[in-house]
Amino acid sequence: MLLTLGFGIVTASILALSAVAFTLEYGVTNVANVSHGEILTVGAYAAYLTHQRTGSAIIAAIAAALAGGVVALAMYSSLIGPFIRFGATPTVIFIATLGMSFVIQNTLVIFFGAANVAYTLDPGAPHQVGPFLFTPLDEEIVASAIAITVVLFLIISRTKFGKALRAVSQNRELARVSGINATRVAASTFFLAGLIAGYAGFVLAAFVGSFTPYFGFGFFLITLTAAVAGGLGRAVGTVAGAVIVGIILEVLPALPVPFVGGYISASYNLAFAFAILAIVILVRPRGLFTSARRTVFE
Amino acid sequence: MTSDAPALEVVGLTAGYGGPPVIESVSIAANRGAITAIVGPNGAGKSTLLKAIAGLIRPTAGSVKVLGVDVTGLPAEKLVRKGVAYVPQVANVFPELTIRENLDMGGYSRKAGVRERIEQLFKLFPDLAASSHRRANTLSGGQRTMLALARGLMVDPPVLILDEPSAGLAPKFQGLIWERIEAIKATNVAVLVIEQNTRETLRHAQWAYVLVLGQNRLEGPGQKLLDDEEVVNLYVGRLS
Ligand SMILES: Nc1ncnc2c1ncn2[C@@H]1O[C@H](COP(=O)(O)OP(=O)(O)O)[C@@H](O)[C@H]1O
Ligand SMILES: [Mg+2]
Repeated sequence: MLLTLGFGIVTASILALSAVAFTLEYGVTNVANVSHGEILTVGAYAAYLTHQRTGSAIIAAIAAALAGGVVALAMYSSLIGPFIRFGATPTVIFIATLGMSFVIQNTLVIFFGAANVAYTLDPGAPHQVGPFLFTPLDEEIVASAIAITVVLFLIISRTKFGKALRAVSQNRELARVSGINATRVAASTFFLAGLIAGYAGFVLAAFVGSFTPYFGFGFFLITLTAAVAGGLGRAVGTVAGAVIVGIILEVLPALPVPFVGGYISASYNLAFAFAILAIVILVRPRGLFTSARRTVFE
Repeated sequence: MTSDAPALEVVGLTAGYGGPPVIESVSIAANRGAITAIVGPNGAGKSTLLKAIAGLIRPTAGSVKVLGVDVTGLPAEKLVRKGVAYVPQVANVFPELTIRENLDMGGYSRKAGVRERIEQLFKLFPDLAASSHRRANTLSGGQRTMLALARGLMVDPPVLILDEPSAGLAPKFQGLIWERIEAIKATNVAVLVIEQNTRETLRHAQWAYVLVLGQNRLEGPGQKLLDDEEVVNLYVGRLS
């Protein structure tokens, strides 16, 4: 039980990175970027390829972040931004980014094939941390996620860019008439979100031990659950949502459930994620913690 | 530019939202130190005209000059640097930013003097000073409108454009808003204002335009239009 809880904390950290990046993208455009998961996938491939050539996990991490940043920026500049400027509805953009998602997945299949790529970092020897058993890799993942989140919150709350980001999220037209170049702020935000998501793709691949061109898309569905639970477009709520969803997803399957006569397999993760998403949308469509104005469907 | 040229000069402006034009060949001018009003029935295109002036929608014909400089078709974020501040009718504050942060944002394009300007505006709007750390979405309607005005004024604009500043406010706040608008006008600002409460507006306006179906219909000194019962009844509505 404590073992899976420890595992859940690592999953939650990765989920928090992915979800906070997604919520940044959502906040600054007011549309859901369904191709968000592919930023993680590209990050994983970039890390893997760089790691093979350089043998350095740190360079691999940087490559994953940069590749994620570039892909996210390209998504905004080539698709989402123009659609917004031409006044497309959120539904249209939702579908366009879903299309983008398939394009990226299949492009990766063409170049790298659809088979599982094994990617393992040496996790090191597990040791006791308080009540949990963590490997050094686990600790690095959790510590880096916390560090990235803290830096991100400092950027959002303290810098001029952060204030402009919040202004554009809350009221794009008013931001523009205040002299803020909303397009540039949104592009920078996507780049920043891409750095985080690309890095998340790297740690997720390293933590799971393998990936495919479809791996980010699966994780996107869990990301969406965390972001909706936390309140879309709200960074603090999203991190909290990710921690809760991440831990539930690891702990739930480990609970003994009498009527199936044993433990539920962890491969039901996605089913659980959707169950949580459905419940949240029914009960608190604006997130667990907030009275936020928006839901994913507005 | 000569001192008697209008601060804002709009000539033959045509604009819309992609379909047929909503305003067609509209011409208006606004002088510094004066209140210029645009009145007209609902749906006449008044807000659309303001959005086209402010750079939120691109005009398809005509020209806009600010202080003698052609700014036609400039995007909104550039227009504010040319001296035009625009206060929309709704969604005119950043709801989750504090009063001070809203004003910071209003001064985003300023190179310097943001803090000093906020202190100046706090003197003009003492209510805001008292609660500068409150979030905009916790303010009353009247306070919110004051904040919206102050946000626009952060750039010290020669031209201030207001879309129905007193709409939806209690009568006592409407009086307060007009007091502030008169005070702003007295600082040599060209105030261009749309209002639903036409009588009150015409009383304050040195010059007013009647816009009907997206076109100029009439113009004249506010008081003169107000005295012309026929004008009021025909174009403005009896009770408004
Ligand atoms: N964002 C928009 N998209 C399309 N049409 C609009 C939009 N805003 C206003 N209109 C149309 O433009 C016309 C004029 O509206 P508006 O400028 O708001 O008038 P007013 O401010 O005088 O009441 C109306 O017919 C309205 O339906
Ligand atoms: Mg209007």
